[in-house]
Amino acid sequence: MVSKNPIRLLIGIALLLNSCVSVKEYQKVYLNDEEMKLEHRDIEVYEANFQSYREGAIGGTNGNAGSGCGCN
Amino acid sequence: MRMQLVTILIILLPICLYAQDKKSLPPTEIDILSSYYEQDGDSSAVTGGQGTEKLDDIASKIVINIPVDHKKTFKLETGFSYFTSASSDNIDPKTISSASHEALVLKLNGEYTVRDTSNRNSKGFNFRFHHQPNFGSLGFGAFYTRMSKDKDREVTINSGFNLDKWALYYDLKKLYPREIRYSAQPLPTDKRNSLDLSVSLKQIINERMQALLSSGITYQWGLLSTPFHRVYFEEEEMPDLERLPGRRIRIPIVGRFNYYASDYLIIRSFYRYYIDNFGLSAHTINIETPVKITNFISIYPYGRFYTQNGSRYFSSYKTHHKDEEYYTSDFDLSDFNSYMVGGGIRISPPLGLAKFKISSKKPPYTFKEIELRFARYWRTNGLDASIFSFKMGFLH
Repeated sequence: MVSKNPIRLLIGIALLLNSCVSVKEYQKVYLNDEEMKLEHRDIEVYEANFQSYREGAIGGTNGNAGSGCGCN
Repeated sequence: MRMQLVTILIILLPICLYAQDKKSLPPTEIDILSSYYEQDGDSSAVTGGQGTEKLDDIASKIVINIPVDHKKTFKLETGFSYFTSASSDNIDPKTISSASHEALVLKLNGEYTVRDTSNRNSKGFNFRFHHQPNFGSLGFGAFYTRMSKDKDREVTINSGFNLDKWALYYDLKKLYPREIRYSAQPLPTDKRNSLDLSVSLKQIINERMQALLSSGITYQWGLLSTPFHRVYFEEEEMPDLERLPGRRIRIPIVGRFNYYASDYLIIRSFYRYYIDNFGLSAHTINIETPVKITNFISIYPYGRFYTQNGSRYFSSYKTHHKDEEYYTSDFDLSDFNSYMVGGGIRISPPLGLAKFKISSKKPPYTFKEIELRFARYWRTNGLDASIFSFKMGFLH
């Protein structure tokens, strides 16, 4: 059975996304910072790999996505 | 005189444009990444949910991003991983070491991207190749990204297909535990296939906040158990092979939220909910707080919490019943929490750390950045690990 908590979290995120303001290109100094990227750092790939081997969950990282390795 | 001047300009213009075009291409990026990983525990699946899980792994890769022209880039990634595993040594308990006690894994990945800025989209395809003595994999994928008019929103669709095969060069039975190699009912196949599809939405919220929401589905079929894992039963002395269903559907739902809190502090957060048809579900939370010491030096502590409700097919050593259809004693699929704490430092000056030349006829290389990262990891069912990683970035 799917837990209700992730659904509530997703609804909260959807409401948050609805409160967005338009940001001009010259106003994106903070957003364009390397530390603000919405993805795992390149250097995290090895951590993401061992987490996908040692844990059952996959996805959302730059590690193995459950295939392409001798692991389940 | 005027005609001569016009003629000279007409001849020179394409040369100038070509030189300008070549000069204004972004530089080639070359990244070198390496890591050292070690783990230990006492619940190895190779020996039925008990025994050493000691493993050391050294990995390294080089990633090259080549701008083909102003719209196209080609990324090539090649690397290796060398590991020694005390538990894999027990595939054959009668010998001091077995075929899988150490292994060299080779990887080759490539990606081709075409950006169309006038239509605000980019698309591409990728391939993956993975080789180790007892396993091989070939994968292909494609992706498409579309941005909104104001470039504050971006939607990406990713798809991929993987063909995996155990025991590339010999019969799969040679991977079975030695004592049941010829008596166990054979596994139905030595192949595993995976199809995955994901969608993600990136959204700028304001000048200091942006978020991402993503979900996907992975469908796997074929051999989804590990052929050298043992399972012991309450009533029996001899183990059997790990047996799992031949189909698996896996669904992650991911959220990210980054906030530039002050001129010195950034908050990066990650949440994932995961569920699959093996009965496994999990939550992952990761928080990282980069602190900008200067404009180009940042240190970042981070913490990660993971909680897993294990698979319905899991039971520990000697607690399975022989009449079950599917069974595993792999503690990676059991109930547990895991914790990870670590930190990193990244140094990336605007003009780079150093410049050097390999050939006097070619442009110099710029040593652009260096990043170091260390973490400790432990699980409530006894496994603990450490990992150290580093990255060096160059431009050419």
